[in-house]
Amino acid sequence: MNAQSQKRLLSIILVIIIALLPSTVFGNGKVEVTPVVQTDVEIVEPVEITFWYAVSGALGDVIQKMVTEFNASQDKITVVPEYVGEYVPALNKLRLAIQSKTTPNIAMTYDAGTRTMVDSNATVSVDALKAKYPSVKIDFSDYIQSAVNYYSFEGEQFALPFCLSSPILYYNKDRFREVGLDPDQPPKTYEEFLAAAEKLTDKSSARVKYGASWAIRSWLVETSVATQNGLFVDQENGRSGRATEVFLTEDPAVKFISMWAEMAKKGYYVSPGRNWADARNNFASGVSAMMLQSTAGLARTLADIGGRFELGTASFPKPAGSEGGVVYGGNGLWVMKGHPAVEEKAALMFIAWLTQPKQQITLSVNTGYYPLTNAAISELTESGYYKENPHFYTALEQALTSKSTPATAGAVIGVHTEVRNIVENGIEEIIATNADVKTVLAKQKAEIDALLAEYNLMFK
Amino acid sequence: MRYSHIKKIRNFCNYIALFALSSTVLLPTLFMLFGSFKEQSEVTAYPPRLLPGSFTYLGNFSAAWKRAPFGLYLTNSLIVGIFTLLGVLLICICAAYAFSHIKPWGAKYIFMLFMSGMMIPPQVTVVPRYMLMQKMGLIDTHAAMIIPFLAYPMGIFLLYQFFRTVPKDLEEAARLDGCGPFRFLVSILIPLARPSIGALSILTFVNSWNRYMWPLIVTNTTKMRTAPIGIKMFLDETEGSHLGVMMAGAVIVIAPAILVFIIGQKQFVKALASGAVKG
Amino acid sequence: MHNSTVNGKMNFTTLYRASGYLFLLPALVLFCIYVIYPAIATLFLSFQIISPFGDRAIFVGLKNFIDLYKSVNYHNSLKITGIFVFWTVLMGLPISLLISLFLNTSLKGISFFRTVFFLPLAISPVMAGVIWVFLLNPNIGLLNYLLRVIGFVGPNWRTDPNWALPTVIMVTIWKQLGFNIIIFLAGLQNVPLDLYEAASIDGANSWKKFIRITIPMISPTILFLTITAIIQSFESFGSIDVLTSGGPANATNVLVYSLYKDAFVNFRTGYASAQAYVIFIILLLITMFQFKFMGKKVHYQ
Repeated sequence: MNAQSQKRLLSIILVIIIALLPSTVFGNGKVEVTPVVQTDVEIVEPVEITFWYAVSGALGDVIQKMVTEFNASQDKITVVPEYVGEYVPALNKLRLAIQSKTTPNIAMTYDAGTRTMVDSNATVSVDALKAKYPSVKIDFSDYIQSAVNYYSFEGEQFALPFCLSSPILYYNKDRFREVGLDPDQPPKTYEEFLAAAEKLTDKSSARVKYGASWAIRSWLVETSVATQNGLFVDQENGRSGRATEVFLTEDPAVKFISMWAEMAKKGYYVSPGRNWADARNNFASGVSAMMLQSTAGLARTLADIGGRFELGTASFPKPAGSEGGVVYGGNGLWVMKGHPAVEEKAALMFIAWLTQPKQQITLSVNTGYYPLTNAAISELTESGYYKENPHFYTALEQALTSKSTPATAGAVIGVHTEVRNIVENGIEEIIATNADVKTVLAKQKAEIDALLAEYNLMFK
Repeated sequence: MRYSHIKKIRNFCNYIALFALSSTVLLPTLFMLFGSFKEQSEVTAYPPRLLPGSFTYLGNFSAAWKRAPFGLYLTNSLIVGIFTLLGVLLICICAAYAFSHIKPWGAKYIFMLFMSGMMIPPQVTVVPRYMLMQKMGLIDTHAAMIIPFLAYPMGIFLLYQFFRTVPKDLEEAARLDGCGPFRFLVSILIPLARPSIGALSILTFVNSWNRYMWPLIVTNTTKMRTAPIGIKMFLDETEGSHLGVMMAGAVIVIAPAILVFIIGQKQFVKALASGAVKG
Repeated sequence: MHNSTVNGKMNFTTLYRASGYLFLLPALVLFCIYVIYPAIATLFLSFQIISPFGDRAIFVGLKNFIDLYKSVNYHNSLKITGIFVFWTVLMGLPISLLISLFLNTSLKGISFFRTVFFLPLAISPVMAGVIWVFLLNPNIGLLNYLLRVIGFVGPNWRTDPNWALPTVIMVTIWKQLGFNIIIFLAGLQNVPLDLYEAASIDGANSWKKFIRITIPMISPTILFLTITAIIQSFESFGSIDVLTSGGPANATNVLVYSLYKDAFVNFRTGYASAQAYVIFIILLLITMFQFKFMGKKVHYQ
């Protein structure tokens, strides 16, 4: 027998012993007859796994760095990272890959793709992986529960919450001082927000300065609804069943969008379109003084401001007395079906590595995404990081104080992207034509409900 | 005397018109070209300036070159472009000749079939085509980016329109001299058609160079990616924060296509100068 | 090749015509595999509703087409596309012809100018969009700055629903100049010079020469360009994607963009396939009409 086969035999014997161990050691008199179905494998040969990610720029660099570090830290697994385009093109690639059975081992998908991924039946859930490969040490008990909840359905965790963020209020402290607003008392309610925007708008010169400018994105509407503890769609935000109705004409959504419309009508808000980057350019160049945007853009915004003015950050405004919290955006990592057990296990091991505090910290510090484990958060707090970089704490504080309710779990919809598009069309129409908010929202709601019905047809 | 005066004035007017028109067309391109030499603060400066502070600032180019493997992207685009060009010329010339001169039975219907192909929006044949490529094992190869585009209906149409203008008697005369269809095509028709073939070459190469969606879908790895994908990913990265770098990247990617035209254009003109004067 | 004898000539013609198939073969084979087959596959898809990842599909007959027929958004797209194509072609072709006429002279340095006008073609639609996005920026863009200098306040070109469509039309015309000019030039260069000389001797002025000689002689080119310009405008995608992404509020949501969104963003494969066929039929009708109508006026030698 050569060394290879000997090794194999040894590992098989080892596995059998380990399998039988519980029944022999923990017998306690009773003989356990249930056979243990052993699916765990040992990674003997070095294995290569592919990781498709969908972010670029500084974040993409961080991911590349982390992968290199992981590969260097051990010699059994090599992760091969590939940037496959931004979120939507990446999901397209994944879709084609699933249909042609050429999927990667790990795929990154954005938040709106969650339900689609679950319904596709093309992934192996994290819980299933844990059950299959118990030898891998991976534990989510230290995670911020709402983060794990976002990627769980009916109690089963499907994906790894990877880059999670929420929107916060960015504001220009210098401008606040110029118009007589207290830079340390940012607006908290919609009324305060509107009033501040009015003060900050200066149309005296050809170069107009607006109170606020933020991207026309449904995510902000979804957040506003959650901060008021409202559901975005029915069936407990699409988690207890597939959504059949969107609550676009209910109070929470209407309140936020009406405030938005009024700010636009009165000329305190200028639309940058749907692009986050354009909104950020408006803010960083001084064209606007306030912005609602993801904390994920924090590092980039600071870089763009380049010290020209003092940045202030605050929680996402919400009506006085609201009891809700924020929802998450960003992306998660999914392990794909149809690959050999050793690759699945390797993928799980890579994911386990990513949950460690050190990795959480690397990710967060370079971008603005949250660290998701208490361990990571404590480490950052103790090292004084948050004292020196209070802006990075704003969103985190917002998240930590959010209660875990179906509202804050965030909506999951099979056709989330299209729903968002319809909502954004509606807001664009309202802003451009000063149409009646309720009428337009009712129209969009009808369109979305029909869409949901069509999607659900497939699952009858 | 009078005539040369009129000629001079006419030439002068022509130049003026050309300058005026070309500056409108040129402005955006110049903006991009000059932008690649600007530092970030110059790019977002207000009032906007066209010219960069100095033409020696190459920082954007080196940053762009470092950030993305442009050399690799350009090579891939070049390989795909050249082979697509050769394939298209071969196939479309033959097909156009068949339609315009030989006219086998049922040619009219086959021609309509090809023309209808021009009207199928590319976005939609993508998914079944991808499946085909995958079954043939051609994903992530140069071949996948070349083969689907070789039967180029526009190319066939363009050459057909030109070939039709060549009088029938020319071919009959050649035939009487013992010249077969193939020889006729090669020694007489093609040289006559040089302007159109030149135009088609330029178009095919440039279209292939600029193709974005299909190569994006059929390539999975960086080493196969072509220039437009590279520049778009680059764009997504810089996201308006480093416009100078982005423009430098764009210049790197556009330069070869322009080079091809400059070269091709000279041939174009040469062919016309020595071209067939009919009548 | 045989000739001379009557029988021989008959055989020759048959052989000759049959050889045509040989010349057509490569194009035909490739076309069937890579264009016809996917097109038919898509036709089948248009009769189904398919889950985003393709694992489930149900047959729904003409439901997708009926939904399109009833959809207000789709009517909007039809209207927008019509306006877009109409103006892009109607303004773009004459401008290109004008420029080609100037470029068809033998002035010194004409090749420089020819290269200049080719540039928009060399730039991919995505890049063109990006450059124009920057130039059209309402605050720091060059265009609005120049307008401000003359005393006008430029609009928000891309985000104002009233200006978005004209903006996209303008950029598309700019982009298409290169293509149109190359083809026009090729056509113009084929007009025999002696025709002009003969006309000069007869005392014709430039305008007459243009109408009586140039236009008829380049009529095959004009037909070709009209058809391709219409088709290209219909299928115009890259710059719209970068400039306005079909918005704002669907102001530039041309048919092809709507199709793209449904196919590649919303993953509604069946619905998108139905839209593809609608576009195909529209283009088919337009082209057939053009060939019939304009084909009569085209002059071949």
